Amino acid sequence: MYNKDVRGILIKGNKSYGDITSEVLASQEKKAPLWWYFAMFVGSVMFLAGIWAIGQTIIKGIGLWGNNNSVAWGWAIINFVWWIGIGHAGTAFSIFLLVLRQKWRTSINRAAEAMTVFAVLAAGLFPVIHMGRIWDAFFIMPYPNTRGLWVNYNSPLFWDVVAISTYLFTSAAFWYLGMIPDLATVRDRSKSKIKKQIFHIMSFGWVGTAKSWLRFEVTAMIVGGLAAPLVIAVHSIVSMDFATSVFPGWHTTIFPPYFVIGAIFSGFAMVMTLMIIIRKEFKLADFVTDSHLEAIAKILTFISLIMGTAYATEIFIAWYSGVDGEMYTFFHNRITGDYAVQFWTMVSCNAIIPQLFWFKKVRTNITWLFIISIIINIGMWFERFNIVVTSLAKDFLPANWVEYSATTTEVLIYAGTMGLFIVGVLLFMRYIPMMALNELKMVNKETSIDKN
Amino acid sequence: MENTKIIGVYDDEKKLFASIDSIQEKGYEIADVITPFAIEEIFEKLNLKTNINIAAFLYALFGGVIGVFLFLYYTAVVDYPLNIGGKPSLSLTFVVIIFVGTIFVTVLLTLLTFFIRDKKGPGAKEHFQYPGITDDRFLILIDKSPDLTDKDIKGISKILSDGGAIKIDEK
Repeated sequence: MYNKDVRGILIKGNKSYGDITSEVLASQEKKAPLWWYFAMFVGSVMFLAGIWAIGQTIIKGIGLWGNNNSVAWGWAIINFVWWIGIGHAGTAFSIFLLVLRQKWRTSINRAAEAMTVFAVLAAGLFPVIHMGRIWDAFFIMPYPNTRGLWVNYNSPLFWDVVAISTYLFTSAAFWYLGMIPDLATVRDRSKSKIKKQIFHIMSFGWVGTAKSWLRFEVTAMIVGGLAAPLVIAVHSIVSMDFATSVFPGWHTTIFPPYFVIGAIFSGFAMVMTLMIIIRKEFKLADFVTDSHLEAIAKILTFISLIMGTAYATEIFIAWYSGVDGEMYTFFHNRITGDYAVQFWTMVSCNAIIPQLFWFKKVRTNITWLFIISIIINIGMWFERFNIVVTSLAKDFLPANWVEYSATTTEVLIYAGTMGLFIVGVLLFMRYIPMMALNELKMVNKETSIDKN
Repeated sequence: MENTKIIGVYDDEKKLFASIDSIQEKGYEIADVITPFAIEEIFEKLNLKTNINIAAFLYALFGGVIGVFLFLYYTAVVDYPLNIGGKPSLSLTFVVIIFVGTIFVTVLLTLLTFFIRDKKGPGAKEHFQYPGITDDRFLILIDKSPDLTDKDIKGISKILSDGGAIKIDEK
């Protein structure tokens, strides 16, 4: 059973149920702060720039990108894997912590799930654009067609299609299901007729009878329980896009666990970034306490150690295998060669800097937490760069060796997905209860009343 | 047409539990309990059960594992077997798609079951409304059926108010 002395008080201020509702919903009921409009403007501009770049890619073709015959996968796949990784946070938080009976998840799960949905949407864009002939993208789906041909079920790329679309559906469904009782709360508090009508439609006629709650709890547990293995499956499948090939640096059995843990690492870091902003800007420090952030920091420290071990294992196995291509990729290309800066940035950001969280002063300082959470996501981007580019740029045949650099179009598409994510998260912060009201109320008395 | 309900309104779930016990001890039937969040003790006290978990298992078994396998078998073995380096058409790689496909089918059908059984959907009408039920109020609803005498009704009201109801209402 959960012991509050381990984690500290989860909701500060001896709040009543009514206080929880009004404080969490204050962000919707009050006028949006100025920074929100500014961030919305920046996010929208980025999003539009991305749409323009995607439009150019569709009209003129993939030739606008820096990809070439050797480095056939560039920024598009780096960003795809990066976003999918971030998209693992919601489910990791909601499900793993739910299964482990970690009640501190209740302040954070809603935002983490929202983040998942927007991140997976951003990720899903890349493979579709990367196909080149975007208008034929539906060919990848198994459906009866005039060609009489079905898809190749042996291909990890098809597994990706199945896994990512299922993950998007499941995480969006889990997110929305959990929100229904809270949307009903917004409906019942709304004074504007239009808002009431919109939330009436969105809340699916929720009242909160005991029978409904029982069905809701069981359904949420089933959907959540099924999404948990999906987290493992999705990123393992993404890793097999690489691991089933014979490229040096890719053809390794460590990839599935290495990708899954890396994804959770970047996802947790992004959750930290987002929760620090929400806590500060919407004055929700009573709900997202120092103890919550410290708990995330501790998890990040642990995962960082696993990341460091994974990097060391890769290098050791490259040496131990005695394969020249592997040795070259790791020792000459990554550690000391043309891509040494990217390699060491990855190692520093993911395996070394997060170790600062061993110091209580660092993991309880909001500024440090914020900076390191961003550093981790920079490091995770470079990890994907190392995997994708360094292996492809110099494979077994020196005649194939080429340099790769991203073009403006690729940069703008990446910025566009950032814009999509920023706009999505900002709309979520403004129009949807940012925290699971019903779950906060559930743990309020048990873990939050200061009995001293 | 539904009966009028006697409503006990509470601001604390502990008082609600005590009142539920007292009402059940006196042999009156509770029509429903409405709360702003899920409370397991209430499921137990009202002896509520759901079969959604059994349904989900059946969906996973028949819709997921068997259904997805049959689909893969038909498309990849019967209808259009692809010869990829002489590898068998009935391949172990089916497991990956069966695994994910089972999750997809089960989640989809479980959600549909929940919405259909609970009569929930976009724009569905709230079958009962009362101020504060989605915020901080806990309600016990008792059918004011024609069988109840005035004495019964007074008795119920007394139990509710003795149990700490902040208001007793009818709707």
